[in-house]
Amino acid sequence: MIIGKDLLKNEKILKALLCSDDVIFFEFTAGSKNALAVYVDSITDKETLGLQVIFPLKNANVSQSVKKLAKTITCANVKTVTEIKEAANEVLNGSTVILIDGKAGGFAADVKKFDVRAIAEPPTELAIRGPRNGFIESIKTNLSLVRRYLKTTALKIETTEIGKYSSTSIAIMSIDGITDPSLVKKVKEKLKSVKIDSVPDSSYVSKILYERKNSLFKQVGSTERPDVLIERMLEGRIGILVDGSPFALTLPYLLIEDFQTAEDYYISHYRANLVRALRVLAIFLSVFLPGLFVAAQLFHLQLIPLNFLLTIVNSIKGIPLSPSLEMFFLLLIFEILNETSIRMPKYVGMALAVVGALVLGETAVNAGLVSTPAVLIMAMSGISIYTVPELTETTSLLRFIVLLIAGSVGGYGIVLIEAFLTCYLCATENYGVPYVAPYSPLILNDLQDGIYMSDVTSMPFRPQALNAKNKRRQYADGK
Amino acid sequence: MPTENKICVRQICFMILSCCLIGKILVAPALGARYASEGLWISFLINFCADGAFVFFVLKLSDKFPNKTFFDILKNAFGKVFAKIIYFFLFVFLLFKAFIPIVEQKNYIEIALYETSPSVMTFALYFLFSSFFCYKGLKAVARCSDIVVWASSLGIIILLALSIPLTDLTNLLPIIGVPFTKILDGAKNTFVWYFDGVYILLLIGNFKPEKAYKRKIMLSYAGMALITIIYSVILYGEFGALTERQYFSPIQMGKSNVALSNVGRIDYIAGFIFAFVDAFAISLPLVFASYSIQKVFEFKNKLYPVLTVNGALLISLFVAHDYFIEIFRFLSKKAIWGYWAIAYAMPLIVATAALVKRRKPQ
Repeated sequence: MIIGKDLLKNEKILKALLCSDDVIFFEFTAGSKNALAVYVDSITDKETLGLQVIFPLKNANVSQSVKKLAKTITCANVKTVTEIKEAANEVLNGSTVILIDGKAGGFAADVKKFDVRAIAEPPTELAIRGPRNGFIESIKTNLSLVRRYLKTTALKIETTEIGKYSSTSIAIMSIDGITDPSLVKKVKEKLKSVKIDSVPDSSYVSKILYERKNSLFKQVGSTERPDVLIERMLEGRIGILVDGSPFALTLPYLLIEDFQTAEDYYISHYRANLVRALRVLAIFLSVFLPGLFVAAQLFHLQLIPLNFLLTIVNSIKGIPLSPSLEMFFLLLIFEILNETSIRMPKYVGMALAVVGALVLGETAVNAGLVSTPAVLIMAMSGISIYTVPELTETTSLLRFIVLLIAGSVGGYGIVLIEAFLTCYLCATENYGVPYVAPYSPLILNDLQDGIYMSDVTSMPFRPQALNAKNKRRQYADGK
Repeated sequence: MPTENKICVRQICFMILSCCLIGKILVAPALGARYASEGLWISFLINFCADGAFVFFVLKLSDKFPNKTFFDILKNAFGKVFAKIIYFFLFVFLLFKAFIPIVEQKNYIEIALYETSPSVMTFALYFLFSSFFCYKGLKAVARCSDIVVWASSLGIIILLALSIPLTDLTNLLPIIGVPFTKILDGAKNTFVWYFDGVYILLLIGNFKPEKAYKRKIMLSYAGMALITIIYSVILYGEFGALTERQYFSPIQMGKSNVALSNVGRIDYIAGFIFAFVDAFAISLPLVFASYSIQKVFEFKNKLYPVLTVNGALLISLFVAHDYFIEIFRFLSKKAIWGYWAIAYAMPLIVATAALVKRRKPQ
């Protein structure tokens, strides 16, 4: 339905459509005619509305067309609207719609103002060296952070909306001349094809973009740090920002990404190599250590050095549970404590630590329910998992599977799980990019930034696996 | 871009250096020593020369028919039905070829890696993995080779580092002291672990022929031969006349090293690494068998050939397990002629005929 010349009729229809107490219908006089400003009270900057929209209209020559009238207001972002539904959508998006009696159509002025939190250090990706700003929930602020780093015309931002009710803004960012255009097209098509009520967080978008819905492994990268997002985009990935979420998404995702942190590039590469190797080792330990310990106790005692074996024998004397049940029980308690510590109020945290570590751990050992080596193994595995926080969901599940198989069939079960994982990960592709590149398929050039990393000034090429259009990112002087 | 569907030459080289290598060092050295004693390395050399010659022929064939699979070559020369018949024979051969290594792996797992006899289900789980591996196909074989090669290298390095100090190479003297008939016996009885040329035959047309690819593949084959021979020489050097009793040599070789008394049986790590690599190695014939039968029957569902091949092996493993020695004797002594006929003679004859037929119109 189009916006007609009769202001009263338009007002009536809009009131029926926007039947909510926080939608304000403000009547005023524009020149010699009656006018109506429609806006949502909670998301409109009234000062800007008054100064930049209503005040200029008061003295305007209302005999002009709506298009010309729109130009008289000083607000930066103004667009004409012709349909009632379009006007209602603009109001819900935070714009103020102005209708003037006797004029067909109206215009929407962008005077929205949301309360946003200040830019702060991202809590999930802390770094000693490097920038301390992180994304927040406002897409506009996040885009400004990206723009601050990338002052280039090559940065392309395409926005779209998803969510039947939420109409969440999504910005797809790519770098012209680097990003593979077919990838951008594929992502846009995938997002367009989705019909969903609302998108409260970018994790929804990442799930929409998953190519294998039942996979245990994540398929879309995420970060809270603008510097990480920029660097990933400069390698050939696309970046996605979702309004209302502080997590930016990156595609295509490689498994190695989560073993790389922003700080690795800011500190000495010798140190970075050490911590990357430690992360890989820690993830291996977190997944396989409980299973290996149980398998060794049940099926392969010869694997354990004699002195350690004697310690274990002394500590498990009189324990009523089998090694696999004991470890399962401990891991279960650890997962419960972990879940509780995330959900409960922070001021109860100290009590939880006391209950968890002292009461449960110490008492269980003293009561002879679990052995000390088992608690040690569980603690080691539990701590190790957080060296790569992005993989905790996957690794904690894998740990239970490995434990189950190890307790049932022993070491060969672990070997088969490893073989299965190797086969699965090697055969997996994510938007046409091998998931475990640069190791399978082996891409020698990309090994410069794998588990081993070269100095940042010695990485002249972008990762080949990502199929960037412009392969080179560093040039020697004079070239 | 590395994501193209075709396999790289490097991946084939890695497959040879990992899966093909590990398959030959679990039981074959002990068996070779039984027949050829200190001349076992010459037996292996003979086997490698024979199989290597076939690999060379296959590479020449791929040179003559660039970007054509063996199936395409046969189809173009003699028609689709003929190509299907040949592939069916190859499928049967690959099933038989898979049987001995699988039983060998089963025994290795159950006898060598477990202190108490594990349940039947322990090894049956392997077929879940092999089915998945077959389902993923040739590309997965190639991709996994990129990872598995490092594991096999690590396993070999650990074992050789532990066993070299215990080796007495004089055990192998005199070098030419063993009668040639015994050496030939050793070669014949261990040949069931060879026939790697068949994998290359089924891979031609599926990989990107790059510069000097024949040389690279032949060099990796020679590298595998060299490592296997070095391994068997060190094994014989360590155990001498007792080598023939060292079945599952990976966990026998390093166990006498004094370092183990301090740090525990770290040689078991190599044992488990070998089990990991061997899981891929023994699945190779199954993957290629699935590939062959898919070509023959052109199943619409990729799962059917996988289930056919793995189901057949699983059933035969449990039915025939108690008669393994008899079956092994039959396969390695009598049926070996059939192996040679299908794996070598048949492809050689039909490929040569295809070459001749292609030349005629010119």
